[in-house]
Amino acid sequence: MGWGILVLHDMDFGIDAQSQSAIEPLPTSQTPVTRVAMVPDMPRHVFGQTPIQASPNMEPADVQVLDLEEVTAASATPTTTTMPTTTTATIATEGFDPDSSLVVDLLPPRPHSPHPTISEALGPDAEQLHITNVSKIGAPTPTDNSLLAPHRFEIDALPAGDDPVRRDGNDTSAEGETIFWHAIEAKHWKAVAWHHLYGILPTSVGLIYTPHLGMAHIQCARGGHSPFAAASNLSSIQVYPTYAPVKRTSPVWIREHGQMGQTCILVTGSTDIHMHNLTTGCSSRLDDPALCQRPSSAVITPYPFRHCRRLNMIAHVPPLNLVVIGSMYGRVILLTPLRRAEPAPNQKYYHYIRVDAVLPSESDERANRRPNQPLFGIAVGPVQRPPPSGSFKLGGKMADQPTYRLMLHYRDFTILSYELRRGLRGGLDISTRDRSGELRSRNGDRGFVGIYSCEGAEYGVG
Amino acid sequence: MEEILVTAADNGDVVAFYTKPLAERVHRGLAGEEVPFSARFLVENVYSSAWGLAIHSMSRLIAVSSNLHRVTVFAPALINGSLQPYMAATTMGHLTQKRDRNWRILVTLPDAAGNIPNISFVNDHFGNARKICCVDISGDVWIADLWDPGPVLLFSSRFAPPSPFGAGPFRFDLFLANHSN
Repeated sequence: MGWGILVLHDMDFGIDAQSQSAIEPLPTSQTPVTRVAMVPDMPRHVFGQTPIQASPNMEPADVQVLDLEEVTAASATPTTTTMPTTTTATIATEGFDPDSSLVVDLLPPRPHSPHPTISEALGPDAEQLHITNVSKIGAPTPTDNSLLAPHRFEIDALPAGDDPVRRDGNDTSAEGETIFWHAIEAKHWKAVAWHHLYGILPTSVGLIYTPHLGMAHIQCARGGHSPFAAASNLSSIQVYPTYAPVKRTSPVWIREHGQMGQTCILVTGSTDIHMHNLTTGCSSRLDDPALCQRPSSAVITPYPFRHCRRLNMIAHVPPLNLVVIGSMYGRVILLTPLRRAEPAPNQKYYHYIRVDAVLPSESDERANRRPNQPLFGIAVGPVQRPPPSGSFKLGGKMADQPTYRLMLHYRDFTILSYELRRGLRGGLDISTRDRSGELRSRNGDRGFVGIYSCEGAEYGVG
Repeated sequence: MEEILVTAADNGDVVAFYTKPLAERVHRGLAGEEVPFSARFLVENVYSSAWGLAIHSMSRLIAVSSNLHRVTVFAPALINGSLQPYMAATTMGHLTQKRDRNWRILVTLPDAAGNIPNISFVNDHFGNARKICCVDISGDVWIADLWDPGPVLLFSSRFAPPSPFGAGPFRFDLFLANHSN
């Protein structure tokens, strides 16, 4: 049976050997190797290298675990700063029965800390250590300045029906299946080892798929056991993908994006809005100062907020076919994406943006209801039918006609609220509620409206 | 289908909540009850400042963009397997689409890209998430397939407007214009 050594650096890891007789030396650099796990017959291509055959099913047996306290106490003895490679080989060849032990986890000394504590060796959450089924197999002698005695973990057998890929694992003809099989296996072992070491299953040990490389990776975050661990780079998957600026008329582009239908992308800048048609590659720019810049042309006097000139709040309301774009300068613009019912013969002017309103409404502006403060957030949600009684009830029903409430939240906690619904002929009805709760239409003071086509600057009003 | 709330933090934390337990906790807590907090169902980290969020309710995906010029798509395992029709598992993408394991799909933009303030999914004809679309702070739009191996494509030329305060976050949204007129 072949063997592999899985070396986990801070963030990186790799396989150093595949067979017991050809164990390659572990890296002896100053990089602290936090853990070494031995995994039998670990294929190299789990990590994106050359593919090999799938390994046979493992039959894990009982493996004992060293008492962690004693190991940590022994690690307090002065040790060398680098990890001898021979020790690893010894452990790999002597310490384990290849047929019975699956994973070994070692705690080498940290080069920068000759007296590591538990938390230094294992991370800040080491106090949460909880190990079950621990039994001593021998403490390391104080003179042993090499690798500390290994922890060996009892590895649960993989449930028979755990992995659907494993069930038909005999069929390894598909390379992707094989990669997936081993990735799952390695992940499972690693998770089990973490479970025995820390008492929890790490969510941060996961499978990573990089579609632009077509490869799968196994992720191990520093500290491993907490997604709130200190941010660190994923050095093992620091990749530089290929990319290609493609002409939109090229066959590559059509092949890549023809399947996406008539999908448009709305890109907003500091003052203007662009609409791109992914299929045709046409773009338009909605930067008419009377319309698009109007949301961002509201004057805010306090100087520290002058950087707020950006259309950075977007809410898409599919039931109303409405897009709400807000500027931190205090106004929002309500857009309706449109397209022709039938394509024009020359495919020109196929997609449009209709500007339905600019809020706050004219009357609110005149009444100075919009504060002289930045807009901090917008929220759009369905208006639900009031419950029959006064009690709070979750999951109320929608009103008969889809009605959404748009709330503008300003920095001074001013909130302006509007109710939006589609009226006749697709028009947008805007109304507000006064203090008595009665709806009052704001259709008359919605500001400018207009229609913009996707493909050009040409637009019509109405 | 339940409503969720996803938060992205400057340290890269991404936490997703169910809103119903949140609301219950608030309302029952106001009544003086002690309610255990169990609304979180996803706690992850993307290792750098997280900015853009995109949620695909049909495909059950949560995408997060970070300042590593990288988009992380969390594809949690689904009880009933994939909702998407997938072909025989011959490529990694198809295996990922099986959704029988937790996957983290990473799309790293090339060096030419900047920080990504906003992202969005691009659907196929069936409404399933097919691609991820990113805009960087200079206005470039990048599109990458989530499942099939392929390069990251650069869509648009940049349109960075002159701004005395530097390039702000450029937001974008994506929609299917299905309103006939």
